[in-house]
Amino acid sequence: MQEKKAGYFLIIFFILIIYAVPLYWVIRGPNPYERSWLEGRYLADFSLTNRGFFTAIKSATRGDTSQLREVIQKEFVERAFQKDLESAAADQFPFRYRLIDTAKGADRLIIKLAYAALPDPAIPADMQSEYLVMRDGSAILFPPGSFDESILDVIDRRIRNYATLIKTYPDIHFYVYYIERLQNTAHHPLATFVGEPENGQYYDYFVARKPAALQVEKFSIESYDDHLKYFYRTDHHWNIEGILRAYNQIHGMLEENYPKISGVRQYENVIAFEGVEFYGGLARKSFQNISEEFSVVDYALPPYQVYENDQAITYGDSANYLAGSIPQEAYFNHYEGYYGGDKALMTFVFEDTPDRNLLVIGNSYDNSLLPLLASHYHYTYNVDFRYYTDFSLSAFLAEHDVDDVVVIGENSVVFGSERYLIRR
Amino acid sequence: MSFASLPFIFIFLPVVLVLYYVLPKGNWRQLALVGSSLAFFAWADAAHLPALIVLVLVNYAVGRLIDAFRDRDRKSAGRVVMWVGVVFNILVLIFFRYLGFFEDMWSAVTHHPLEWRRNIFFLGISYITFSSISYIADIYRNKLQPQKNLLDFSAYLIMFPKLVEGPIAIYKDFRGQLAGGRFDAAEFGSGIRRFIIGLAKKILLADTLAVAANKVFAAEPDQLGLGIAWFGLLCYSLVIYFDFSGYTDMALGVGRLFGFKLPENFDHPYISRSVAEFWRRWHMTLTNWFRTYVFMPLEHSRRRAKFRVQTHILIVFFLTGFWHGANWNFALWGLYFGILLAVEASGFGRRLKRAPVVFQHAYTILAVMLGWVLFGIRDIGRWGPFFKALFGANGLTGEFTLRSANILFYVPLALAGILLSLPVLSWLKKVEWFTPAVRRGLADLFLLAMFALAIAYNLANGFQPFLYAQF
Repeated sequence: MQEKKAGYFLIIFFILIIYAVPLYWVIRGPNPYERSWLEGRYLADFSLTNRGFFTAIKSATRGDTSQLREVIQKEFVERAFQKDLESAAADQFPFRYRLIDTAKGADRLIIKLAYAALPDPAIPADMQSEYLVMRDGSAILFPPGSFDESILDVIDRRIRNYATLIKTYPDIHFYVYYIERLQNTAHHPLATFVGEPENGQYYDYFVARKPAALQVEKFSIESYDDHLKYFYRTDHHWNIEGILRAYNQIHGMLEENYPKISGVRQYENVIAFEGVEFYGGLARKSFQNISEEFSVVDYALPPYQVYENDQAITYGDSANYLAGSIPQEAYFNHYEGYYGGDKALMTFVFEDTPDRNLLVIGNSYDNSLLPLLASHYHYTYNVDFRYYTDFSLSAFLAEHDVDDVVVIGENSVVFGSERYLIRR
Repeated sequence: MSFASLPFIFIFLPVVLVLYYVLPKGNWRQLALVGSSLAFFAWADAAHLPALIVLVLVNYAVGRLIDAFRDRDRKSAGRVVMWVGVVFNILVLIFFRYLGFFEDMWSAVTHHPLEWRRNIFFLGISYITFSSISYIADIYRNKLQPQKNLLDFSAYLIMFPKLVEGPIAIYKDFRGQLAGGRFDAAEFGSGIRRFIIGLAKKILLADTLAVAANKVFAAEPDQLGLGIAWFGLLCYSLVIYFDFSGYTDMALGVGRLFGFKLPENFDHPYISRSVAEFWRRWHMTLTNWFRTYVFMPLEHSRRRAKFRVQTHILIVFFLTGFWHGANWNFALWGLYFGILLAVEASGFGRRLKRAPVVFQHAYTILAVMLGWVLFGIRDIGRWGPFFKALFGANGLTGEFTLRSANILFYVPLALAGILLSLPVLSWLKKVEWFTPAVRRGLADLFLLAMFALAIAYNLANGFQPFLYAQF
């Protein structure tokens, strides 16, 4: 009898749980356009799923059979409604983050158990991503890169591409700024655990075969401490130390063909935003509760304007940050918030500068550098091939005067991927 | 809609439970059950809802017709109707599942591609047609009276707890439950327990270990060392078991919430001591179906044939394999088991029983796991290189390692999976710690924690469809 009574608790709790969740959804009401900074997306909501449902009902009451058929086909047969509802149920689940964190906590426990007797200094950060976390929690890393001989063919094609560009546009100076990252080097804590690690072989191959007229500079990582010094511990981007180093190196590289370039911009001190907890992309994606401080420097740049599709925009929220108005949302992406996000094409215009123009090809690493580099040019164009997919240099040059072209980025951007081939 | 999805657990189930128990017993409840089953079906496959209804009506009519001819003593007409019904169901199955396969075969032989239609997913079609065939055959063989109430018949055929992946409930064993019973708290509680166990098996074990299995199966076989090849195969063996038995647990659990006792489908198959025993413990309702409706009729019709039993076993298991999917790998997988069973039936089985128990287990688990290679790797060209890796042709370790593939952390989970594939719960039930009430309370508390963890994993990793839903 007592055992039977004990069994009722399960029934009561189970019933309570399965009815409490939909009750919570009903009581709380619609919650559209809620952004999850942790996942970098807007959350799905039930109110967004209703549209197709109500359109179907309206069509039925109006007797509009053709529209009704169309709505039923799209919403129910092709499952748009079902998928929206499934997403909303997941995204609007009560205590969602706490539950996800519990699952990730269980993952981490299993990982620690599996690696308990192994010497690896870094272990997988979670079961889904490929990221690694140092056992002491000091940094989250990409796994070490392994050498793949087929990439050499891609590098050859990229080299031929650079050679063709240099030959086709003899009046333009072409530069490459290669960002070496920890996973490309032998300094990665797990480099010895990979069968054939990359260890900088791609870069060496590229430099040995590049056209002589192509000027190349490298942001080199000489030790694990270098990585910690120049990159965020929880994000793949470079931190303020890395940005300053890159700026100085690129400035020096450009100076060789641009002797009248204005001097390197000076700053007074590094500003660390107190109370701001920066969870980088690696921490957010692997749900690691590791944050770090977010620091910047305030350059006194001359006035400038940024354009996207000929529309003046405010790129980055640095002014508000420096004025003390800092986004307080949990897991906010401060790198993007402060410096600005990715765009297909942007134009920076600095008046009162020499009549010389720059084209920067790269990805999000550039976002933090652009105002600094642009301050030495009249027009600076920034192109990100991830978004500007049909870019053609000849078409671009037909509309814009360009004197210098700099390709800035890691392996894939600079030589390791055909996605960044610059079409003539 | 899947049992493991959030809309099922937190929207569909609560609504249907209220609807079912608020309505009076009889036709109203059956109406609720049939209506909710149609909604459940439409959620995943709205395009075939009219076809499903036609299928129900045709099979209902065939059953009534056979009975009508029997009453009028026109058995030959009844026989014709029975065959029409059986062939109709087989043609429906072929049309929705195998037409693309036959098109490919034709194209490969004649080099003239056909422009008919590709395979079109019809939710639960294999289970529905098999239930229908057994229903028609049993009426014809005078083993049961046809169901005259269309609602009761529809509830039997398309009841949502067993609609997608079975178990295949034979009508004569199930009809007694169609009248419905009163709410029984003990049954309801056991249904919840079974549902949670199934959910945990699916989400916590099958879905997580599937990542490791998929990575190994997708790797170039010549990069696999012996160790990782066996680890991948072990993970796949556990995935396929926990995925399907987890689904069955959930189906049985949901069935009990509505007062239905669906037949068991699994009985710890990996502890079997022969391949024949494995098939008595794995997908039991399918094995029973083939035994009753294919093997036994064959046995009766060809009593004097040479190697009769062996030939019939081969036929049955070729069909069993082919039932699993419109691809040669499934047919060959079935044939592989057919050969093993035929060999066991030819005297090896008797000798095996006299061998040490350890050998019996080792032989069976090895045979079953090697069979999963044929089942899990659909590209037959990859079988050879994978078997080579399994038998050490690439050495103990290859380029693709547990660490480089980032699957080392699945080792503790795989060990837990091995343990949980054994009858641990039965052993635990024999342990008499505390009073029965405390034991029950602790076990239920653990199950609630597993339920929360399964939901948490569902939210963290998204929901993965059941493997057997495609069959």
